[in-house]
Amino acid sequence: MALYNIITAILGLILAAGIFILIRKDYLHPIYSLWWLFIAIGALSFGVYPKLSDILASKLSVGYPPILIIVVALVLIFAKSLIMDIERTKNKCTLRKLVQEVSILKEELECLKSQIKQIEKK
Amino acid sequence: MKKFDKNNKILVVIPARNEEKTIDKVVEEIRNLDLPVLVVDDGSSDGTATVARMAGAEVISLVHPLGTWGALQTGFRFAMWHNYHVVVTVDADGQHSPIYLEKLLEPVISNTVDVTIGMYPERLSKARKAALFVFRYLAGINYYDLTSGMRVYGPRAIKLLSSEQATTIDYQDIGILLLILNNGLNIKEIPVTMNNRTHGKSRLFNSWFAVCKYIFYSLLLSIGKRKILTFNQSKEK
Repeated sequence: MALYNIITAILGLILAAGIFILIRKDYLHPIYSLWWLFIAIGALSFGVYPKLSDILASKLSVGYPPILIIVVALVLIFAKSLIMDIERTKNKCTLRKLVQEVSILKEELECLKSQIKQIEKK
Repeated sequence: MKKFDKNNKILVVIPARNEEKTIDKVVEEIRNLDLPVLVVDDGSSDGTATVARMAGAEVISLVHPLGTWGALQTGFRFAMWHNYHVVVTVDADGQHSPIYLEKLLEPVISNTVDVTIGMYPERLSKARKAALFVFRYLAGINYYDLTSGMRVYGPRAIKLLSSEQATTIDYQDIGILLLILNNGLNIKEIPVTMNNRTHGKSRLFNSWFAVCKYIFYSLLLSIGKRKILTFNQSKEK
């Protein structure tokens, strides 16, 4: 096994192990962990078998195999950031609604409390 | 001044942030018309909430600041919960005189239109007029005072504006008008006059960053949410 093979395998293993630990310790929601599980398996596969990119590149008629991984990685990063922005928009919307409804309920609770006090005084 | 029929279930919503110097007069003037007033305090650091309450308004203090539209939408949600049929919005800085409310309320109460806007484009600077001209052209709408906060909303508009669809919007102007028009509701502008602001400064245009953010946001909305024409409307054109 050549030195670069060992280095890529170690890097792939570290990345995959890190992601698995985060999933096991519940730092990632199960839905997000699916995505990262997929990334961890990819990193492990390409790290342990760097020739995999050569095989895939020749099947897809890509002249320079390393660029295939870079292009795929860029597409995945782009997709992930787009999904994250959609999620952020949804979260912002939910947060605004929560703030509005909690504020209304807080005011109504204060009103009810003062009404109860007035009734008790009578 | 004419007092309004309580059967119409009208609620006046005033979004306010650090307006303790003017809010009492605004609330008192509207309370004199026998209308209930809801002040939505958008994270004031002064005594706005206390002053408004003393003047006779019900006050909702937002647990986290949401900006003018977020504060107004709280009022719409409150109106939905309490079955109000009409919501009137006015600014807390005293620019809007309640003498025009009757004129603005009449078409909404009689169900002729869904929304009326108090129009006074004379108050706008040349730069703001030019910017609004561009937004109007891009958005394909023919209303002149897009930033006026003096408006009256009927039941259909209240339902629409308290929905989640309206929660993603950041400002009360173009985004809200396009949402209303794209949902088949109608808007009428009614000429009014407005007073000059005596205290504080506009929240919308309080820094160059805020101005740039507003322009960029409005441009995007004008293009992206341009009034959708139905097949018949486009044929008529």
